[in-house]
Amino acid sequence: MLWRQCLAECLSLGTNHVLNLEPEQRIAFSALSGTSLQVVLLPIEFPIALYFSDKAIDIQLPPEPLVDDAVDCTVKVALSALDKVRDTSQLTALIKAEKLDIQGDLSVLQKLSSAMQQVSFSWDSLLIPLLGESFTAQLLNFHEARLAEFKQSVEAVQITLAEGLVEEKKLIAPAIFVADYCDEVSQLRVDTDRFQARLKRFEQQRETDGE
Amino acid sequence: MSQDTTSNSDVTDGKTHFGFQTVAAEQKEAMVAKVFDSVAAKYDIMNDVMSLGIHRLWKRYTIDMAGARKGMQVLDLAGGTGDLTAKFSRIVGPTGKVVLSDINPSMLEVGKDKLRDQGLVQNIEYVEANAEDLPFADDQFDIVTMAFGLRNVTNKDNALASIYRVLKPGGRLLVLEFSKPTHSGLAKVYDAYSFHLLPKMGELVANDAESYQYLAESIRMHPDQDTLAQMMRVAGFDSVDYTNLSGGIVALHKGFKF
Repeated sequence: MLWRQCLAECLSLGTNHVLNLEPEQRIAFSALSGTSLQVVLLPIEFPIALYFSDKAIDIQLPPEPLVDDAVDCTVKVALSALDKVRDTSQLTALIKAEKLDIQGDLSVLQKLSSAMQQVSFSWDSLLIPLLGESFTAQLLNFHEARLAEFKQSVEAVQITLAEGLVEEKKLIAPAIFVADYCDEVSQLRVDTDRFQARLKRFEQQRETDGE
Repeated sequence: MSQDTTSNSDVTDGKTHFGFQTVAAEQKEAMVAKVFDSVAAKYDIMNDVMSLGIHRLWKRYTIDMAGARKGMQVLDLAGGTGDLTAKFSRIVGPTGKVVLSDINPSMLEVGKDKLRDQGLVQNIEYVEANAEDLPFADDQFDIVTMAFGLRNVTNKDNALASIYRVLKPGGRLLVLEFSKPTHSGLAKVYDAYSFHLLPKMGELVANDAESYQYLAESIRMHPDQDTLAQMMRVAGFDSVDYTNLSGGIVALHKGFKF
């Protein structure tokens, strides 16, 4: 029952933790202080409300979309177009394609897009304060090595599958050959029936001659 | 649901309860004040430890159900260290206002420091006030919330009447408070936790077992879900309902003034 609140708390804690690692990232969001923005993901109508203050972003996941005047700006965006909203030059195109609808103060969205472009994230800066430099380096090296192995395995599987498909494709008879083969089998069956009938007639004739 | 317990159940013949003790009604306020003076500095840490952080989710649920929007006037009553106030402050924005009110100056001071550290200064007022006699004009607030505060009030009926007075017509009251677990199995586990583990945790973290013993006892003495709902109706609230959270360990009561 409290899964929305749990998710919202995790998102808020995570977002603010990451932003607090680099003061420049926090400054990028300072222009948004005192504003609020609601993102409604379409077509599932899933609302995410963002409330900005000087030192934190509070993320709420209300049970249903808030009315437009509850926040400064409401952005309804198709899930497929979510990553494109970061680029303000694409907003008009998205609106025309009916993948984006904006109600309220457009400048809030523009400021957020601008701030998002300035945010960079690295695992080093996140983990070093928690685990120390040495252990973080070992952990990230281990992770990179496993990731490289995983990628190699995926590539190997892809190659095997691709080769398999190409080679197997040669072995599979084209449809026209299969149709021809079926016709020939049918013809052979007809010929065999006819030959059996003639044999039967000869046998009957021989029995008649013998009598 | 018992109608008899709804009207002035807290005070009988000038006596009331302080945890499991019966004390003179005029003494309770000072005794509760002493408890919260003692726990104020470590209140937030203890909340996280005692509830395993779940109190944050209960408070978030309260915020979600409050229907706050920018420009609104909100009263966070018995607001303590300002968890709800912080969130309401961001939601109502610069055009709205949040009043953080608590009877205990120590708690209010901790809340004030915390909110200032979070950079929230623009739209928050701090008022030391008794919930039974709120120093605000009639019909002033769109939303009044009281999280984990009502059970400490000496006369709950007076507090509900006072809240009703300061709410605007159309405004709503949300009471988040410990309540009665809905499953007997859970109630047994919860009792064992409250009376055996909780005071020990209080001693370990806050060096104060007595205050947390009072906390456990005051929870048991608090009206159950239906009784509190009825008390709200008696105070004048309409469309009163409640939602059990975490199996009824906590309940959120909601009522409107029309």
